[in-house]
Amino acid sequence: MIRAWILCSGILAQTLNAHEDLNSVIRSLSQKIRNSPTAELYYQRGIEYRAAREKLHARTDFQSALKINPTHQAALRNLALLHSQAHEHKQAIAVATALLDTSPSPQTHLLLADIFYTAKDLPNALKHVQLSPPEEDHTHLLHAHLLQDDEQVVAQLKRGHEITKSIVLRNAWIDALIATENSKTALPIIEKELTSSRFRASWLIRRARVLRSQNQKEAAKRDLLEALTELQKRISPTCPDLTLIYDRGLAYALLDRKKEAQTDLEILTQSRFSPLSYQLLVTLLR
Amino acid sequence: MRRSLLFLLLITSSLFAKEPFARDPYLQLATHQSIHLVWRTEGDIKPQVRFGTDPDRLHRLVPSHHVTTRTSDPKSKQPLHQSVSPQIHQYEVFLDGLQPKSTYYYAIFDQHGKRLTPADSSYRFKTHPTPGSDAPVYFWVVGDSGTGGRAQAQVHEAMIAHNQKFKRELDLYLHVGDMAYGSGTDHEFSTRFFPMYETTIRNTVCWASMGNHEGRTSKGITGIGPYYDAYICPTEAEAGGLPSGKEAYYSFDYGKTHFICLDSHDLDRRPAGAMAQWLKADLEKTQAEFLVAFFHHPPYTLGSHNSNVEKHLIEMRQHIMPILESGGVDVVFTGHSHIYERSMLIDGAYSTPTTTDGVVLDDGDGDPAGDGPYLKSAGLTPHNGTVQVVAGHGGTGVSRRGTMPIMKRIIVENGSVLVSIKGDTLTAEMVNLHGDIRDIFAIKKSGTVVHTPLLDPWEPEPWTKVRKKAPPKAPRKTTPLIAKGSTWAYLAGSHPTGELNAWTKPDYVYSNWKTGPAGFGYGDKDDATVLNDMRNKYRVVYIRKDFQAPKKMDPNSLGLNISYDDAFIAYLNGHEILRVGVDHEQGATAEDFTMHEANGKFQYFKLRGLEKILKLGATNTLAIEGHNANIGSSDFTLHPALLQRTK
Repeated sequence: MIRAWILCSGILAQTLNAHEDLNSVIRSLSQKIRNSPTAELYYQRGIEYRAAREKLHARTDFQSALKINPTHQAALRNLALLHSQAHEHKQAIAVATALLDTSPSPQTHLLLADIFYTAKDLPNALKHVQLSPPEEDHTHLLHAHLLQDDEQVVAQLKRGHEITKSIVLRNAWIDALIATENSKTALPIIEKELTSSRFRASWLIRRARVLRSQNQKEAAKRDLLEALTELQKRISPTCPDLTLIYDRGLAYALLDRKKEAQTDLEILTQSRFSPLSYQLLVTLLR
Repeated sequence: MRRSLLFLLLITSSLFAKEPFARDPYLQLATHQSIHLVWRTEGDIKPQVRFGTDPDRLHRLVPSHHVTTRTSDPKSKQPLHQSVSPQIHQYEVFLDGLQPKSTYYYAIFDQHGKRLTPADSSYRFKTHPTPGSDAPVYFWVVGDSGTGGRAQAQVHEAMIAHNQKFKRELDLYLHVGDMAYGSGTDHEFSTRFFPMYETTIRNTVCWASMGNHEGRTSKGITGIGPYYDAYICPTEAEAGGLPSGKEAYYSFDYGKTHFICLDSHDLDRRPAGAMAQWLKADLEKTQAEFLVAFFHHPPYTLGSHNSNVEKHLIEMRQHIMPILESGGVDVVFTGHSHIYERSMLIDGAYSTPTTTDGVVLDDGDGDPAGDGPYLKSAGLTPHNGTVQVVAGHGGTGVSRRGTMPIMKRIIVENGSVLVSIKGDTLTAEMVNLHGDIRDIFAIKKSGTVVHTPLLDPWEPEPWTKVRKKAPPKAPRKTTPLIAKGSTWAYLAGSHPTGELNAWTKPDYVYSNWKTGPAGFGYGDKDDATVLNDMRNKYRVVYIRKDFQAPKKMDPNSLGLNISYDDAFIAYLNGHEILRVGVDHEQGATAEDFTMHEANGKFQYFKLRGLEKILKLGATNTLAIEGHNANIGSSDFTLHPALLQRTK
């Protein structure tokens, strides 16, 4: 009997969700807004506009939502993000600060840290990242990036990995160890990964960096050439995987093939690959 | 009166009888040595779980420290979503110390020792095989199902019936998101997901990927919300792969197959984002031989959504697909778009809008009984070809807005996908809500296969919106004069000899024609006489059949019930009586066609003006020429039946 009720209610639900393309959803929300505008309806339509890449409409809707309910948290968060993506830093900071006043949460601190970082206000970015959620890997990546002291960077990433268990933080920690020439800890992990990985290029590059720091230049060169051979097989010439372009750029830079490394860096720059993630390549090319 | 009271009592007692579970038991996060069992009750029952390999001897008891109790009390550890009633207790039980590839049976008891699960052997689970071992895997893929409606139930029942018919048993279940419309609330999960799949998820783990509807109440970045309350996903590589640190995206192994789940909804999809960086590392590490990825937003679709204009879809295509394809992915399952779309073997299709230029590696249908399976190198080889499957047809209303040129099959029906990986071959079947197999493709991986993109690949026919009015159906009361599936004489691959339309007359000599059961055609799995040589060779098929007309009947009571693709002309005793989709001429010179998909359906046409043509109480000849609008069309159907309306 209960199942029958569930099925009946489901038929209605099925109708409500039928043909749920973006335009239909926007039309339906517009009709509801005409009948009885609420902050939530404007926010929902803003989300749909954003999915349709209609950023101006999305922004207007988030603003309309906030006129009705100035503390609508999701509208504040999404409006702040839109401003930040458009490099309207002042507005982004103002909206995100309003959100922090409304809802002082670690997530909002992380949002502010990101906005201040994009605005190149590094002291404020650091202030907020220290209050960001520790279970979030991005917190530790950004925090480490903002620290000046290499040892602190290593410690931050190690702590982040211990909290989150994220392999991304583990690998970032190994990169930081290599940068601080702490090969004693890094090398055994790298060797283990080299024996257990299907694709070895990123680990060969890491080992080459360690070997270079130990002045074993020939051994490093062998690793880098092997990495390049593997990467060339994986990189599609027409539509490359940017994460592999970064690896290739590193290998070229470490081999002193700066022109080729510069070309790869330009591909990353033009494709709006986050500067946070190719900083090492920039450093090597200086 | 007494009977009425008894009935009322029965009804009310069935409505208000206390069920033992507020959410029935279901399985989560399996490995080769462990599994999780989850359920909910109203109130604390201090449960015990017993299990064993013999359903009549559940001799092993789960220790109490392996039982996690969750409530919505914000002070508790891992509180449930605030919308959950305070009385609700969710139990998450960790069963370990298990043998790989083994079946165990389980039962749940309350604190008084009362057994809450029935003594039913369907309360069981199977552990994964040892990672890397050569074990086959059979799994079910469903998307966009969470209406709690009839179509969702039918899709589920069709899968169960299919498995019973072919004596198969699921190893696992992938859900590609939108499992609880409209906002993935706790209540919607409890009414539109769990009860619908109860009989399957009590013995099969559902590995989930979050859809945009669940995303309204659950957040990937925090891992909080009803979606995350419902599922236990790996965060520390418990089932293989590398630790992501998040339930939102993860990977796991089953034998030699590596599964990757991504959050396409609310996490950073860019290549420098944490999810993409984890994906890259995970792909570098895996030693699997097959690679299956699943997430919600499809990189390629023109179903209810458009991947050429929508942000999430474009980003998954431009940012994530290059990483997956340089890692050697074989199949990508997605949903979001309410349709079934399945691609050819493609690689590098990242541009916007999507075209077939330089991206199609094999434009065949991948069907072992058709053009043959797609061939790839053994193991995981970068850029060796991917098949994209949009399976957003699991229960909600389906629709189409155009033709995605890389697709081989576009089917606007509810259904799901069943996938088997055995030895060097992956085989996938799309089973619709009626249990019909509507598409099959396979990927065979052996030796070294080098692909070069095809210069002029096949493309599906352009799509124009069909009228919304449902095609007319046959009247309820009819007598078949020529039944469905009857044997006809047919001529395929050449044109009839003699004068124009001579072949339609009763006295025409057709002894050199072949005979076969209707329907005639290819490519859409609905044909009894399969014309494998038709595509790209000829586009018209002639059929004829004699039938006896009763002595006493109204000549205008006849109707043609026909499944057809694309067009046809029907003749009775040498006279044209019906023309559909052919504007000019007939036979070899017919031209100006209107395209029409049969979709397994019959359309009824009343036949008029037969008074002077039909011979009552005598033998008559019905002749039909069926036309394909394009010689290279992916399918053709001609399946007629002649019906007499009765009172």
